[in-house]
Amino acid sequence: MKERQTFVCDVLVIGGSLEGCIAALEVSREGKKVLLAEEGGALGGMASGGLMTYIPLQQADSAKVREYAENILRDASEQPGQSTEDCTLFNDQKLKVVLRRMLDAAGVTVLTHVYPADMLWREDASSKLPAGLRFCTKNGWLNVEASVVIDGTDLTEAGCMAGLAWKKGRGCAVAGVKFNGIGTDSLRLAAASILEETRESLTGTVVCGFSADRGDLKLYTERLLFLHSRCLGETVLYGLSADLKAVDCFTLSDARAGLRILAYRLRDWMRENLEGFGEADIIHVAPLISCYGLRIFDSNPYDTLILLNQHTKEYDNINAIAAGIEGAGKALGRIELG
Amino acid sequence: MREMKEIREIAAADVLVCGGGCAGCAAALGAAKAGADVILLERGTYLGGIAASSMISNVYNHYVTRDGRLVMRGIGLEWMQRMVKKNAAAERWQYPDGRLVHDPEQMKVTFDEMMADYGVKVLYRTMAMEPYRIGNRAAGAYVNTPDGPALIRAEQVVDTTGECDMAWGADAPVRYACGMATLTFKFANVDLEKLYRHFKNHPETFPVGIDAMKNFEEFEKVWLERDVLYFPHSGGEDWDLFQDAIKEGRFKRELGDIFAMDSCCIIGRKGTDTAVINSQMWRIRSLDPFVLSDAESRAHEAVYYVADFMVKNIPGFEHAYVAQISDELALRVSRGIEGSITFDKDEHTTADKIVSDDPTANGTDIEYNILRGLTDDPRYAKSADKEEDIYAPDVIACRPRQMNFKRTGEFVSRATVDIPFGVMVPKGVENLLAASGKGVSAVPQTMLRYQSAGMALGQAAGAAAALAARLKITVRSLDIHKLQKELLEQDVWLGGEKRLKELGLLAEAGEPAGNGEIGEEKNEGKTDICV
Repeated sequence: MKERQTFVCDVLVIGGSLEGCIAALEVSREGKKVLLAEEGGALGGMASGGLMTYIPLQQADSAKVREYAENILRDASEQPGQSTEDCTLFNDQKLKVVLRRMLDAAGVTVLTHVYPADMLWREDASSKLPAGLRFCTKNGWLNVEASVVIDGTDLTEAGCMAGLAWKKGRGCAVAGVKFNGIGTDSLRLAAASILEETRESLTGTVVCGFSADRGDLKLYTERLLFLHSRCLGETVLYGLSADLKAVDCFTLSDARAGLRILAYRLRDWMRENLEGFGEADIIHVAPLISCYGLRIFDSNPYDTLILLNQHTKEYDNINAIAAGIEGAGKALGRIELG
Repeated sequence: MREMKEIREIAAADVLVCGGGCAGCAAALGAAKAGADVILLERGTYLGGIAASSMISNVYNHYVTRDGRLVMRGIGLEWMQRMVKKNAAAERWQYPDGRLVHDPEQMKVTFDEMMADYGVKVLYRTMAMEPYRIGNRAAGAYVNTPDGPALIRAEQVVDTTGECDMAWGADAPVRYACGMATLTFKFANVDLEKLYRHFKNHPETFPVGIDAMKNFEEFEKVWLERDVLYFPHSGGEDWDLFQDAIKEGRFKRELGDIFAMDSCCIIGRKGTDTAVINSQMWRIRSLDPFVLSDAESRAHEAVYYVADFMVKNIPGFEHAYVAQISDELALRVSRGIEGSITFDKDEHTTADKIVSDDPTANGTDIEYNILRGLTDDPRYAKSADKEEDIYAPDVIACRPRQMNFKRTGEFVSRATVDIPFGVMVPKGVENLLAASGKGVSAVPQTMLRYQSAGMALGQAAGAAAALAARLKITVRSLDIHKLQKELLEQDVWLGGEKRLKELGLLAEAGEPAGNGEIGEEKNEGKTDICV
């Protein structure tokens, strides 16, 4: 028989994404007990594992969002002491450590490699409400009981476990790839547009149009965002796409494999077709692809379950920070009601 | 788990493989090649398990004996050949030592391609949570999906979760070993040539007799002739750049529970500017998620501690930065099944009950040294003085025997040892095989780990599951000859002509009952092999 542990807290955040981490921080700083549960081995979601290392600071519409963004740019910067004017890119690997330090300092309990199995419910005479989640771990079951559950996962897993209906939103999963061996000048030459240029970084778009088919799956690249760090010589290309006919686990899995294979085809294509890209080498393909906006949940009758990722928009670090802050606010409000 | 009737069944297969590491991938492919309909589950987002996530860019040699015979074939060989073809592995790799270096990132894609080629359905971000049983027979697994819990039914289950989660969940008896864990990382902007020249100028500082890299001469030969830079694991413990810094208080070998931060394995390929670093150890005494999460977090801090030191002190790393950190803390061993037979420290199979010697404390260090042939403690030293083959009747693959370096001056033997099928069979549950290298019935638990042994075990488990599914029998009762014939068809090497005759696998005419090779085992690239 598998062991069963129980952990009781005020708020359970599922999903160690950037928005999930921010929500956990915001709630914990108000004195509530928080547990953050992540399926993978590190924090940051699309901002780390997804290689989305760009923060468009000018889009921050509140002081709080701006403060989080600036802290990330400063603490997770590629070079110590770098100012945010010098660079609008942070380091994806460093972010994992930075987020963990922030959460530890705020007293949040963080669990990695825990797998959501089922919703826990609280029932009274009139209603049934989400009251936590059961997780599968290597050591047996872990029940996390909480007054409020915040769902920061990209596919809104807790929403699904609560039986909420969803419809397909955006039909496309997107991936990033980290390269080195691409020079700044070569990028500028190949660029279709330049978004931002600072002393340390260059961001823009490049057009690499080719496609591949994998059974039913349409895989392609069109306009790619590039995020280039001059001093490191590192370039993230973001925007490899897979059109999904459905959002079930088999199709998504197929897309993950397909996008990985596409990344190497892109490398070969660029080496051949873009001047100065002959030495382009893949450091790694993003282990996380963007599944944001694939599922839209119209209505959520449960005020003890807060869904952070409802929109059809593509992933964006500023939106993520804002969503985390907003979600935390709702959670705190719900806790006040008792 | 909620009531069974409420859990949706989302798929069914002949063979369900739980865990997409090296063993699991080989199991899925072995089952598919044997004609089964296969589903492969993987909790992460890519295949290759720890070998891929930890960027273990050195498929530890269990392919080639010291006299140059390629004895490990099958899926492990097929995988390696695909990697070489796309220039993701050193072309001249068939050497009897531990430096079969490849690009670990492309390991993931190669497995994806193989799954597509052989028609295996892969489910990523899907954790096998508990076996689904009918009586004491495994019949599938409960899994988590982004839609909630679900059921996948199967005729046969192969458990390649690494920690034999399914066998454990089915109440099969298990053993625990105190595994050592590491979080590895990849540096970019490394000048490998500069590091080589440092040792060229100071060859006396190169560590001697550690981890299949005996001395500077071998290091240089491998760099110049095989385009590989390989600084051995634990080499830092005998390297002045680390040890002087420790003495002077500029570097700490230990930080709390983390030790061996000077182990400093460095692996790179000439012509690239990246290097994978393996330089920390944790003793993992528990699989409790709170313990593991804490370890995983502090392991990230240790990565930067070691990286910062190397950038400041190691030639060639002056401009390096951490470009990629492993996505998971890698547990070398922890939980394995206690089967009816056990593979022991001398590479023999025994049906005796073996109790691991103090597994929660010193066992780990000793296990590690046993595996690497670095101890001459008579309780643990491998009896590897005579280079004689070791046979088992239920052989499913062969690998080069290991030698005790301290006694013989060699790491790899000219002889082979049979890997037995029985170490994958758990007690108390039917139709389930535990095939991860680190999860089979072995004491020390480390004896059959590493990618190539894992792939051999996995392939056999998958093939066995496929045959048992087709015949509608328990996998335990599968006639071993049937399995061995299937494996021969899959280009697995089980021995030379004489051995195959002994095993009853040669048909009357002297032709093997499987593939078309008789006599001298096919030996690709023999002229290139360094002995």
